[in-house]
Amino acid sequence: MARADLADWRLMRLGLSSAAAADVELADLVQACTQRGLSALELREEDAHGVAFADVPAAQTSLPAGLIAGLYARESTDAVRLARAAVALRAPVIVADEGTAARRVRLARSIAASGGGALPLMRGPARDWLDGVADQDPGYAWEVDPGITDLARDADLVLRAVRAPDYIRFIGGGPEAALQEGRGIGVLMGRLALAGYDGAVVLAPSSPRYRVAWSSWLGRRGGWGCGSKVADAALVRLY
Amino acid sequence: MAETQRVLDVRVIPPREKHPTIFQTFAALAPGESFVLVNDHDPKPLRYQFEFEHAGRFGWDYLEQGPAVWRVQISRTGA
Repeated sequence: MARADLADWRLMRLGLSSAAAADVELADLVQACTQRGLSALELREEDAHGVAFADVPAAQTSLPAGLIAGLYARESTDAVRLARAAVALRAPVIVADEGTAARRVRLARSIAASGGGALPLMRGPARDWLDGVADQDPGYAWEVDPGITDLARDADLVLRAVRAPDYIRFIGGGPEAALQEGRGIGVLMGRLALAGYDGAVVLAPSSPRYRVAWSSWLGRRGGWGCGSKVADAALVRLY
Repeated sequence: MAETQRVLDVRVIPPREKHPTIFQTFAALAPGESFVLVNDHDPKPLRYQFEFEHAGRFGWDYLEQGPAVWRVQISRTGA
């Protein structure tokens, strides 16, 4: 089968959050994603990518179509501004405000009412929030943290729910994958595959303490991955 | 209209979980179904394992062969 046939499919996309390289400009993030085979990019508002969430960025026209998967915002009360950014960058706002899930749902609806796409971010055990998003329109984002969640149990709950997530934010992976040994990431990914999940799975660091490890990983030569490709003596050790 | 294709991206999966996850996903397929495996290197060792454990019951078609990403459509061809 020719590679071109991939265009006829809706595919799960693995991507990267700018949180993994908070001091890196947009052009370098885009270059890293495209060269390393990642096909989705989350822009966190406070990072150094240089894209203002209020204006149409000059770099927008040069971005590969569909590369930006989400605009992560910790403060989403200015619905008009964020709706404008969502339209300009053709990506939904990921509403990540502190507080309750219900509050994030309300904020997302407010952005949607202002004309932009928005997905409330759901965190923690799925049983705590799943009922609240069953009829959520236009959808929701799921933040998966293997450090606090039973991945197999929550994946079963979420993927059997009336409404599957439209966006997944995966805490860890990349250089942190070694720390997640035995926590069941494989069962989550296997379930996503069997469910035909066709949204983005964006990798984000679990803590700023791993900033150096992520930077080294992003700058590696020889490809992305979980570290199984080659032994890389330059990779920063995590322990 | 675009068709949804099952994708198993194993780049995020720790090494010791990779092959078990892939074979569990394969085991869940009905005859004629498939998924696309995404990896950061050519999964030749995996193919050898498939040939040993599932000879004649799987399909293996490269969709993309590097240099950064390999995509292989793995299908179940028999019961």
